[in-house]
Amino acid sequence: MAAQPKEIAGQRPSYLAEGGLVGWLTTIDHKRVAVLYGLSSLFFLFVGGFEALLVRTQLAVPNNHLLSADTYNQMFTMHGTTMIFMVIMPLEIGFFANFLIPLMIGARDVAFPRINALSFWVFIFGALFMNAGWLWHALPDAGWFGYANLTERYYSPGMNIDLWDIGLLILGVSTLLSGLNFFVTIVNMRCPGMTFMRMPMFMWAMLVTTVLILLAFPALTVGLIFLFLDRFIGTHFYVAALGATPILWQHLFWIFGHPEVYIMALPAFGIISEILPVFSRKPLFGYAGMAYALVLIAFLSYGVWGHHMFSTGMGPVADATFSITSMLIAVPTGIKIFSWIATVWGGKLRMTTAMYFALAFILEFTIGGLSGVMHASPPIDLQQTDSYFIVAHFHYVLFGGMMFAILGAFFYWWPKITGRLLDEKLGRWQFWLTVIGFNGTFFPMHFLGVLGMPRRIYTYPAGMGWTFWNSFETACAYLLGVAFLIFLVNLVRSLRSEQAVGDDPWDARTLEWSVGSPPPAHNFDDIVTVRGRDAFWLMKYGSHDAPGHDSSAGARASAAHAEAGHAHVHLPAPSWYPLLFAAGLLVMGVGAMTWLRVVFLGAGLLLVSIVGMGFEYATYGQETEESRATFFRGVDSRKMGMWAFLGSECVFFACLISTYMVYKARNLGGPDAAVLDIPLTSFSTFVLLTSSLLMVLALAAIQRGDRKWSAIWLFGTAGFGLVFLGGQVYEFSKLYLVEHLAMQDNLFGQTFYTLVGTHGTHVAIGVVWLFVMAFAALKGKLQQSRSLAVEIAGLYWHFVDIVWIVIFTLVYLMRSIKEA
Amino acid sequence: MAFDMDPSAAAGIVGLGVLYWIAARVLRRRPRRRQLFFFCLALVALAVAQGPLDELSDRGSFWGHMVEHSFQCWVVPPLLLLGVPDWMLRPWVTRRWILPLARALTHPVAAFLIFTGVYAGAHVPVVFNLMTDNDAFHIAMHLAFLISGTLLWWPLMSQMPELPPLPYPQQVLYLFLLMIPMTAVAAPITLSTSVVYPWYAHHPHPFGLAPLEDQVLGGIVMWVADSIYLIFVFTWIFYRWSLSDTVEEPRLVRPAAPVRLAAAEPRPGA
Repeated sequence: MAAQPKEIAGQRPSYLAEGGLVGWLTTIDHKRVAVLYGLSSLFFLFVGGFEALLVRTQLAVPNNHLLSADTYNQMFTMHGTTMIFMVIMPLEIGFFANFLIPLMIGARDVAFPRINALSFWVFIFGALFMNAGWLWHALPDAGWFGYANLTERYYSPGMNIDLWDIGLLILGVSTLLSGLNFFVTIVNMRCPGMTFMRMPMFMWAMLVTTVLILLAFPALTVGLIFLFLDRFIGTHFYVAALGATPILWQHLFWIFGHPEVYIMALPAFGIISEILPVFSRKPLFGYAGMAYALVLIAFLSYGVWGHHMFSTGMGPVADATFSITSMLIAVPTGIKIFSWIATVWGGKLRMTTAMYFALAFILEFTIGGLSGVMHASPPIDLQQTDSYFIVAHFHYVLFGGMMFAILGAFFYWWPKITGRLLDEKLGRWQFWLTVIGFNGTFFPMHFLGVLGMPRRIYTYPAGMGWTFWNSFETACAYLLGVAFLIFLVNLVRSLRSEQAVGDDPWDARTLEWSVGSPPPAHNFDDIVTVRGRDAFWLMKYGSHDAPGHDSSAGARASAAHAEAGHAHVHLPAPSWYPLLFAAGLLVMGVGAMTWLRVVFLGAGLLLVSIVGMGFEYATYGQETEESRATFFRGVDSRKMGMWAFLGSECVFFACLISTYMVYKARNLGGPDAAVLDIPLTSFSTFVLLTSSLLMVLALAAIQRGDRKWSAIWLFGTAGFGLVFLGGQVYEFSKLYLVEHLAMQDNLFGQTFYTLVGTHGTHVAIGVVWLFVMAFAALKGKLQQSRSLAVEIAGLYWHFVDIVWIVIFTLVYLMRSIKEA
Repeated sequence: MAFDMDPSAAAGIVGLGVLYWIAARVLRRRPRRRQLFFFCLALVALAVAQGPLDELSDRGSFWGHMVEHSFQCWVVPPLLLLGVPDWMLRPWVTRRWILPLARALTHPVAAFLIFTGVYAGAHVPVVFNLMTDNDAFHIAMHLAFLISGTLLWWPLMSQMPELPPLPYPQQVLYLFLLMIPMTAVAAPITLSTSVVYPWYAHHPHPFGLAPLEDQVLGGIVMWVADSIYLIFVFTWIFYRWSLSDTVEEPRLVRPAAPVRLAAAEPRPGA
């Protein structure tokens, strides 16, 4: 795909121009990273589709034994996991959002370009790791929700669930880092004049999505860590035998899982909100209401996880509460649907394929939303749960909603990404085949559910009245497969075509269409100044009096003088470390399943790459003072990134602490919190708190340029941290050797060691960090101008201390209080 | 329904009104009609909380008690902040030794932590039992709700440039974060299978509710009703945000004219 030079763009090479394998392996350009994401997710789209077709083929006729029950389990599990974690999320967030966020907000790259590349490599390695099960016929087989205790070693001795558990942990790292990166980008790197209320709706959707990612994924991480410990160390987090309960997994999983639905849905909402106005030639109806609805959905999404668990018997009160909160979500969703309809209403419609998909989205997603409201009612849900009705519901949401939006986005943004249009005629064929195939596959599932066909069965007897609809669905599923093959042909043909497209083929409204197609590596020649919503529209059509007017002559002039300037736009240098980091994580995952020694090799790789990246510039524009002044709004991106990370850590520790509190009360026999040594821990708490004071002194010293004292205080902080760790090592060995409390012994043991040990690991990381910084200060490498580095380490250190105060209070001081 | 108001509460409400009147007289200024209206509404809300709701709570209704707390935390403080004009507070707040203290206390992080500390602390069984057993402590806790509630609402509702409100995006985040401790306190009470606070176990309940049902209802007031209330607050804040952002000229980081990135020269030492 050699890039054609554009007339308006003035002979500037596009971001795709520089080829070479090394260039792609080390790239940190958000557009190239996005392309890498897009290619891999498209690959997994076809893998996941293949799995779905196998599932449908198996169910085509009763008593079918084409697939064994075991293979069938692996196929439906991997179909769900693949489509959610390797297709929909990476396509929406990794591909479209990654490509478009900087372009839509007028920035030259994301806030942390290296972390962006790192996210991709971690993602692809995690995905390949999980799919390695194909080689041994040992793909994960417990459903995408991996309900305990199906996932316990006793019930699943093979490597299937190990791949799933470790693979999801690796994928979680990638998603969390992307979320953090894009959050800081949108908050901090908007161009002048781009206030929140002027952002394209897709940016609003991504802003809210990233907050959801930051606050939801830690719950999954905690659940997966418990599962890992159960499977590898022999603890009993999800085993009823020792007083634990498998329901804990469901709580942790759905506290993550319901926001996860919105992590996938909100970007789709954003995509639709971009496509509809352009092809209706009207501004988006109810902009503020649309943004409000996005935030309100995020507010509500944390209080509804229980509606996935009505059948676990939570009791009438919890059922009623979750039922009310779940039904409330229909309000903001309704605001969105009516606003979309009002956007199209009375517009001058241009029926492109993108528009077809966007309009179909409204209908199909509403069907899925309506069956969702049904499930919010516990008595109805109890009838429908685990039946094909649920399968119909979430496919209307995920396919009818998210996938339609993604396909629309492909047709809409493909010209911007590649410089080539997708063929409209093929697109139309694909659209109608998709609509017919999709509705034919999934609508009858409502009937099957009501007729009593359960999910996850690998075959069914004849004479249940299910045969006709199942055969019909399978036929339609193949139609859907054909639609995707046409899509593939369309993509390939478009890439091979010679016909270049202009910068703005749709006469669109947002800033990404103001740059070349494909855009140059540095995105914008000039720092854009935005004067209102629909920024690019105002630039093109704003009258001379109206704010936001930018005469085309002026635009051309600025393009011309940019010609002279763009050569000097500084772009961050490529880096090998993101790839190395991801490789390290992969090696650690492999090591966990094979030999422990390999884990250390992976950890070594991780360490090397982290230190390596530490010596490179972390944020975009950090290299030059000038771009820093231009791009950062107030808080430095690194500091804001640290705050966002700590917010995410709060949820992580909250999940660990809640588990401890609940399981302590359920402890059956053996040592409990009474054995804890409070005087000793009070002393180490005192030491840790004092270290925070020293940290403050260290920061004050470096800020006034006193290198000697800053080094002294930093060594002091790290030293006190070491003393604290020493106390913890002593405490753990005493518990283990004197009280004979091993991690596997009882609920108190496993939750205590996990909680306090995780905090200890955080302290240990902080100690290493502080020692590195102290040595840097000693060697004179920590100037006054880099005091921010100390400040960020300080934020982390204070946070770890605050967490310890909470742990000390709840675990040690209140040890005798029984859970209500 | 006949009820007695605690004399201290009645004195407090009347005293607050008198103080408002005196302040307006001394400063020779008249509050705007809107402010007067909100202030009166605050007094009425306070009277409702300390009158019928307090009565209900004294007769052994946990949910009545929780509604009373909701009034003290969520209703009275914002109405007070809307009702008291900035010029009325300025002479006291801007004193040399008060201003730094007021700044520290109304700092969003401090206000958030103080309020959640009071709110979570009050529902710890030990503290709550002390509250039901000791009237003086009970009154003190209600005052603590009112005061920490006023601090909590300050970053959202402040009218004073000296102690400014948060920018709108942060206000939304602030409200969002507030829901986390609220749920953390309310969920265990709602979902508990036994009566958490013993005082309610051996007191008769109005309306014939069993103690556990009463507790569940109180928990739902704290969890669902308060959350829905906060969602309305969030709606209001978001509405004001959307108005402010489109009406006002945005604050530009750079001059309005398109600025070209000058040729980057190597920074000394870089």
